[in-house]
Amino acid sequence: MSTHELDELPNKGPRPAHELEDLKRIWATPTGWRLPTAVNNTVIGVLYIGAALLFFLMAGVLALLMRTQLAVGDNNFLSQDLYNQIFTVHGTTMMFLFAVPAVEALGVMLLPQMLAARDLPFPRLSAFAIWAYIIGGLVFFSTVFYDLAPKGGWFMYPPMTLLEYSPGDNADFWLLGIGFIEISAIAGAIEIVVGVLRTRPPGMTLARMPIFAWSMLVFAAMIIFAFPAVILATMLLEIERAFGWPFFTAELGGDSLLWQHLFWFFGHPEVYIIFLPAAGLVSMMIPTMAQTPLVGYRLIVVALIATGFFSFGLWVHHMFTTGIPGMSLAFFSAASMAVAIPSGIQVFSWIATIAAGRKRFRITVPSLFILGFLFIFTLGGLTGVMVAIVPFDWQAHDSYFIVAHFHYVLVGGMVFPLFATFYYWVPMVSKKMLSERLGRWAFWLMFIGFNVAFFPMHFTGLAGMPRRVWTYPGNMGWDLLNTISTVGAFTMAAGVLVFLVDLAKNFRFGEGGPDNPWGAGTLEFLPNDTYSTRSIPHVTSLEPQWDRPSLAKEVEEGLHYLPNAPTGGRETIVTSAIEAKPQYVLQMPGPSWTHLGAAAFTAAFFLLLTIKQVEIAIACGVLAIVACIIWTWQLDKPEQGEVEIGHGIKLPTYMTGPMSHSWWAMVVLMLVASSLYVSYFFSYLYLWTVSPDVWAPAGSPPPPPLLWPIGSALLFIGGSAVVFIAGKLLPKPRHMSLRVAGLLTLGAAALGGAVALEILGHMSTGLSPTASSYGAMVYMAPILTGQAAFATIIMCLFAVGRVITAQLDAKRRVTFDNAALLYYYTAGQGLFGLLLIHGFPRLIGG
Amino acid sequence: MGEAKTTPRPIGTLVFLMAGPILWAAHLTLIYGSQSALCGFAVGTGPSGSNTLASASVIAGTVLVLGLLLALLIWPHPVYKTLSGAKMPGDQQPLMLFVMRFLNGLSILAVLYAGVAVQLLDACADLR
Repeated sequence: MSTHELDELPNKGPRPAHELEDLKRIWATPTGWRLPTAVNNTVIGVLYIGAALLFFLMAGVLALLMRTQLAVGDNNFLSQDLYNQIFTVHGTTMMFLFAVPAVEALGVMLLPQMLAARDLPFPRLSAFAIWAYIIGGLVFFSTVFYDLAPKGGWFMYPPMTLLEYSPGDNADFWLLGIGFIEISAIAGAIEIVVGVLRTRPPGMTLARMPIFAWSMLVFAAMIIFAFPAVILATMLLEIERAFGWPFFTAELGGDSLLWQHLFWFFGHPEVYIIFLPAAGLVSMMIPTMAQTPLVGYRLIVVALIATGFFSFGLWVHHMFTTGIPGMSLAFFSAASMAVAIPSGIQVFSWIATIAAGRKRFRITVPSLFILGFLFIFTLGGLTGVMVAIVPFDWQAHDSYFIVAHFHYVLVGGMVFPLFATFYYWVPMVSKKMLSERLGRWAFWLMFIGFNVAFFPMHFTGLAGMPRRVWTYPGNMGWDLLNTISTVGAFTMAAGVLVFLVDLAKNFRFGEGGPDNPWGAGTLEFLPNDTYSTRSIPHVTSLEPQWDRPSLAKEVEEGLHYLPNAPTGGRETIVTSAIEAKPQYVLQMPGPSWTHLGAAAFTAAFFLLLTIKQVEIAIACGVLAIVACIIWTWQLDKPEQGEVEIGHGIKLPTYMTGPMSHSWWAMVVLMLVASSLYVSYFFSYLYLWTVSPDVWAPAGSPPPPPLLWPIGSALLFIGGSAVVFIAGKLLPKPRHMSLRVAGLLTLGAAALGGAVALEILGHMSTGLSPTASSYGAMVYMAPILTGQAAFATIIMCLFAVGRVITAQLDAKRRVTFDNAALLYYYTAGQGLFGLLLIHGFPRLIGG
Repeated sequence: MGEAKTTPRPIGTLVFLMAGPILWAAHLTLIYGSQSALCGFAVGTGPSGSNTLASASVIAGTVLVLGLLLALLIWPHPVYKTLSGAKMPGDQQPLMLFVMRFLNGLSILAVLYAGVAVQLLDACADLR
């Protein structure tokens, strides 16, 4: 059948009555005390977004406290120390605990509905990420109440954040807490990449994919490449604070600018990580309000991808004043201006869609927030081009001009679209819509308040007021502008308060809201329940509901694909990544306590480490691993034979290799690991470039004899060969194999031995990681490989357990394939590390 | 399965779509890395901050990457086949060519924009 047309519906009606009852029973949300075990995207999506909103409100209260302090000069409302804690927690919470989780939450909540999938492919992973974020985030935020909050700003620059200048546990809460929350964000990103590429409905080729799905794909890809840089940075800084390895201490060969490179390599893309999904949401809402297809769909796809890429070439524009040669600055200035082009494309496309509407653009609450976004974000973009120009940046750097600029970009680019989203998509999860009257009040108060608060800051900055100060002398002429800003901040807060009142009055969680109140053309407004749509539609255009008005009825009557539950459990269709051709039926896990336990114990592990309770932390770490093992033990369900989904298409219910969704997830995980290692590689070369005279420092022992790295390399290669052979010897279905179990155990031991040998080799020379940045970097390589090896060893031993219990064989082999993939990657990384650590010093004659 | 022979490899297809920005990223890495390293070690740096070697590396990198970007613009089909192992699906062709070409054009602009710095600034001089 052609993917362009749908001459005949995939299934005939009427469908047997039990099908719908089966779906309702299988996908039922747990109730009562079992509610936290839920994994349905609509339930955990609402929880996720609710938590993000809570953090937004709490960080907003901190902003009001800061504005009160700054309302007049020479003010003592807050002490300097408390102000520093509040301003650090405000920035950190808004960026890490509100903005990224909020858009990830929207992805979890909206994507399955937009793609008419029953759920994202790894529902427990989503739930794990959400609970880890909630627990970790609440503990992190609470530090502000106990005088334990970090004080180094959301950017945490060393040397100020080194132990010498920031004693106590405050900075550690940031480093371990945020590092942990980043892991949760990465887990969500893996889910989104695989979900968007593999769980689209049949017929939804890339050319028919909703713009929000494109934007979430770019968003998740950016997280995968950007976040590892800051994870490495937090690891290095925490290791320096805890153990004295001098990565950032200049007198021992370190460099505090290394932190800025790593942090901003993450930090600048972060701005677009936040903005692109918001832009995707706007691209979904505007066509509905204009009742016309989006003008320039392809151009917007181009713009999303281009913005995502170019944003990785901008990080140095946060460092224009750090003394980098002029030509380097020119490269990054050029990229900073180039990124304005794709952003501009999107703005013009939206305006064109509004102008080209079949009917007059409807001015609803979502429309108002979108128009507010266009106004505010465009202003922020224009000042962005200003600060991309190096000489201007030198004047405006570290002044309130920058504070104004990035609030225009972030609040305009993300918060306003988010509020539009709340009003637009709330019927998906609420029995009642939100109030248009209260919504208009909320919008105008927020819009006016925002501009009154932040527009004057451009002038405050140009008048010379530096940012990050807790007070200022009253005779500088900044008082009036600051007072106006404070009035604006409280006005904006009043707008948010009105929104909360609206929420309290009208939001009622549950099904039964109007099906398509705005007349949208996309799939998320098809009739929905906990199982998503009754049947999975065949998609033939970008706006299926507009082009096929009978679609909602057909889907509801079960006339499209998979109108039932042929395997008797939760399942969805997996399709090919480009053309969305049905490939197999994915059997999905249901509610469980395991991911919740894993999240709680992982959070406890990190937080207890922060307060130096090492023994209890390790116990929690072990419990987290146990919870993960129980969780994953339930996943690899046996094949149920072929099932028919409609149109006579019979699909397998089990898949291995590159067609399998788990293979894709593993590849994405390997991309994360390699990004982390590339960041390390950059750091190694960077420190060498900065201080070649101490690489290695005088008196430092020479690298160990080559026998050590050769032994380590042989173990990496030999272990890989053993795992490869084990893959060839997997037993027949439903048979166990002690031989394969032995080989996998041997492979795991070889991997551990390879890492241990590398560390022992350096220890045997007397090289100390605390004596120089060279020594610290040398030991860091096997530590990073050791991390990956630890995970690989656990996976190998897990596979041993499966093969002994006859749950891993030549056909049912996903567990083995995943372990083997990670094994080969880890061995490859280990070999590269050996070449770098042992080859480079010899190459440069050190 | 028979389908595998004619179905394009998804990763190859995604790389094809993003070939322009990937080359742009390679260009930025190449010119920033070589220029920073040469300036950092003061290899060939003159008293005014000029550095012929660093400037030449930027020009060479720019010409090389521009050549690759232009080749991709002119011969998209062979590149697609090499990357994905199949012919471009007919119904996907308009989107794929449009996205690839537009991204490529933007990347050419960005590469030229960065490369032109060599004409305007001494390679290793601090601007202040």
